[in-house]
Amino acid sequence: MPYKIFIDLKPKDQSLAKDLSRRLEKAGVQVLPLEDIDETDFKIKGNSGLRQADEVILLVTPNSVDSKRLVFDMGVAASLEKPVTTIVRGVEPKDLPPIINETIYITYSNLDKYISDLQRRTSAAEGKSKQTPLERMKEALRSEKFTWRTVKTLAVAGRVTESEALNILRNDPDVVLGSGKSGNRLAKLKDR
Amino acid sequence: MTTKARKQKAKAKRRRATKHSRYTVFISHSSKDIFIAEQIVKEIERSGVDCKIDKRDFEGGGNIWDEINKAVRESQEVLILFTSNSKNAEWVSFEVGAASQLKRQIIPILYNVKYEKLKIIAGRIAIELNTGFSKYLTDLTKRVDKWETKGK
Repeated sequence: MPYKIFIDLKPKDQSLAKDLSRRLEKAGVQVLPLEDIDETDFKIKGNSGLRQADEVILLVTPNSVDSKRLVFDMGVAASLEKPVTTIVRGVEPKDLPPIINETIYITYSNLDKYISDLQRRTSAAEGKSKQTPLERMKEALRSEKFTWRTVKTLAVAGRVTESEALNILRNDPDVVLGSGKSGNRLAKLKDR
Repeated sequence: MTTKARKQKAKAKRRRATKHSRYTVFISHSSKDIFIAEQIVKEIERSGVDCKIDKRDFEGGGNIWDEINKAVRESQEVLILFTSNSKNAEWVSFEVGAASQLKRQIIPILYNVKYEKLKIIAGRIAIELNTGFSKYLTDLTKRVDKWETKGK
């Protein structure tokens, strides 16, 4: 499964984000669909790329340097324990807010180095885990602590959506499906 | 001291003495508002509820993002002090983002700042520091009691 990146951007930075996406995709990572930052809405959408991503890129430009929503999203990403990379273009270091200036950020002119580092990181991670989603879910089902596991939890372990997890598990002869009291879909290994 | 006051004091003392995990309020504020934030901490702790505040509770040399994340995770509610200093403070926006994601109760406290200007808390009930803080403390102790009864 490719490494997924979410780019947080202001609507005016769409063309820059598209250029960034193109360069990232060329390096073999998946860029989630671009979502514009809405300065008037501070609700976190359940299906936001922010949640699905393996890494979040915050695009800081003169259009977004004062964005509260960008910093709000930074807090969301941090609490989701996702790596956050700030990419700055067209803003002098002295004009960056302390929250960005005091952390390590990348300037757009140094993007090539970031991309080659990213490529190295993702290929190392891929080498470590060549398991299929089913293998990952079965590993979670072999847990000594639980016999039954929710499909939701297994989907996280398998790095797939809940409906994908259900389809994969349904077709495996070693897995038994059931339902919990609250209607949650559950699964266990047949021999347990 | 009246009987009611004595009872309240004893209850606060009991809360402080509990060994188990305790209801904690994380105070989010601009560094310029440290004086007000510290007064708020004093008042909340006087009612027997624990507080976390960066200046006192964050480890020196630690990663600030991790420290905030940890403090929000370990708290049951996040009190956000909005003043003319903090309405543009990025750390406050960061902390609201973390608290929203972690589904912590967010309590905006306003001091000399208009609610309408704070889009980040649109839809949330805010409290005026000068007029509503006593009621906040009363409501807080009720929330703590409920939380303790529920078995945390």
